[in-house]
Amino acid sequence: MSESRIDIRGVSKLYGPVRAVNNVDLVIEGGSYCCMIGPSGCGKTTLLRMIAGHEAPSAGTILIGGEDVTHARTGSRGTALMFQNYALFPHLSLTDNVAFSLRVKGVATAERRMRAREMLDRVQLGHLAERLPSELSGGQQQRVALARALITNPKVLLLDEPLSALDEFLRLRMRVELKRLQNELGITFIHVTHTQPEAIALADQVVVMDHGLIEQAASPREIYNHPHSPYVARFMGGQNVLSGKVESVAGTGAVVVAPGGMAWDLPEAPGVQPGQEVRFSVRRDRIRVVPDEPARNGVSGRVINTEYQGTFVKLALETGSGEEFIITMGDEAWFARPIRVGETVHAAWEPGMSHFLQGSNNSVGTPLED
Amino acid sequence: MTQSTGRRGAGFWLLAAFFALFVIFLYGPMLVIFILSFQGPTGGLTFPLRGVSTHWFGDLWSSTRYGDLGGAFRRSLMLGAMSLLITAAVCLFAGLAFRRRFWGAGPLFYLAITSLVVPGILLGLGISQLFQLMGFRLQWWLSGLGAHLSWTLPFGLLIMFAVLNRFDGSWEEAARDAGASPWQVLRLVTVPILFPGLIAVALFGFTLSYDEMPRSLLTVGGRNTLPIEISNMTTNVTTPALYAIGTVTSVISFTVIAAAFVAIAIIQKRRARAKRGA
Repeated sequence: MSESRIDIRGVSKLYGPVRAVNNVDLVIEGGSYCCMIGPSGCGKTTLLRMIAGHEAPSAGTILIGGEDVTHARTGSRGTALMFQNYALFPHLSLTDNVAFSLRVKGVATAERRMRAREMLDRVQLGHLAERLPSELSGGQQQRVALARALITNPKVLLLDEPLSALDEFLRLRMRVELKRLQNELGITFIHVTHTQPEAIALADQVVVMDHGLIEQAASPREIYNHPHSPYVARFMGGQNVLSGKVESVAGTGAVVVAPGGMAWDLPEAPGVQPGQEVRFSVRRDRIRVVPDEPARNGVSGRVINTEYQGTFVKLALETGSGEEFIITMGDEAWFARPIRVGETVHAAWEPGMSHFLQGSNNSVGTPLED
Repeated sequence: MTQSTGRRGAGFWLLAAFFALFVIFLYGPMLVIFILSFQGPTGGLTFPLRGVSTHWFGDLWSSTRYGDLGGAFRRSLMLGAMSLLITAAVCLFAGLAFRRRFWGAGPLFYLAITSLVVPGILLGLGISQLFQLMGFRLQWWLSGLGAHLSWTLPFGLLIMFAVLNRFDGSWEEAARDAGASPWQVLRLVTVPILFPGLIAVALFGFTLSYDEMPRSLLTVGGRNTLPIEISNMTTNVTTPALYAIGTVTSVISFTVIAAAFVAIAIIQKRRARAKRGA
């Protein structure tokens, strides 16, 4: 599968003085499902378009399957791009839309139409083969776009926010469909999204971007459990970010003290110095509500909101840190002793749950949750 | 409005009367000329009709009193056809180019539009002076065509902008992504999608040229175009043949437009047929 591996080396893209993509290095393994995620304007779409060849990098090289394609012509580098708005040709029938790439290669009419029909059957649209795109629903148009991209037998399929134009129900269904397709074809998928659950659900590798930089590129589990920076922790969601001053260092661990005096143990915080300001994260679902104020590894705060989510209840605390502290607790525990807005609540967690955040990007992020 | 919804207010009738006046003003004169062109052989330039005949149409072709009417007509058609082709081709590529904000795009655009604002008669005078200065002879197919293009090109460009407003650049990107060369993108995607708009641009090129007068006056040289010939007739012809030529030219204009619509219909039918069967 190494023929569809992608190496991005030192790639930058400048629009005037703006660095849309800033000296990015990234390896995407052949045959993997990669999701690029970040807020609008973080450079993820620009990076995708450079891989597809619709933009030329200002600096750096892009290799596909070991071959330098930095300046290779679009459409000759083994990639196929599925556009966000699908970009189906309005004057051509579905068959001719799907057969388009065969037509420009000079494949005879009968053969290309036959192959296009097979591809349309594969996406369950064979019965609409002679319709025009304007006669289809959004979900159908998307499947045509997929068929048109796949008929070129690409090594790499690039998807630019493929699910963003669909309603909730279709989005979940197409998500499953995309994953199934990728397993079946065994080619590399690169999927740009700004939706965190989409990335977590689909990807073998998640690439979190911000301001033209890659903040972290790792497996979804790694990203979720060991976020690199406060930004990644906040953007991917499910975490609380806390900050304090290092009081003492012992081995690779450290003790951090909050402005209010609470002490937190960080089991792994290599390289920190006493007196240093540090940040760490704790997963929302690993926090217990306790009856008394804990001595260490906890917080206390006033409940400002409770939200019932079916299998769990979300509790938002005001702790005086300026950032909401969120606890998710099992619905049974909550209903056994409901907690009202305005009450003061004590929370605690095991020291091992505190994850030191090495990265310095402290932006708030905009965690979009579906 | 406290009245019931079934009753029309005074505003409605006022606007309706205004609209009726507008329609009469628009089509009344054309209708008068159309009717008077069928004046009997002994009739004059005004009502009443003295019988109904096609005498004056025949008179147009047989009589020598009207100068080189046939030649003028042929020249105007040729000029219109040349303007049509050049306007469509140039405006297509100019419109596509202006989508990129290339260096100097703003000044270039205003430079192109300026010739719409300059009085046509002055522009014509300038062209004739320039030609004589450079030692060229004024010819309807050269200086005359240039004068017409100074009118049809900026107009066509403005229409092209409106047409391109609804054109999504990602269609071209999708074509490139599928491996199409620049020529294939243009031939298989850009032009077919823009085609109805291009026909509108081409028709404007024809009709603007076909009845162009101020720019033509001083630039066509020794041989007149139809509007100049007709203008001359109004001063020295005093028979209903004047109306007959008006009717004939109007019919030709409508025929060209009808032909364009038929062409579009045929293309669409052909596409529909391609759509139905492999």
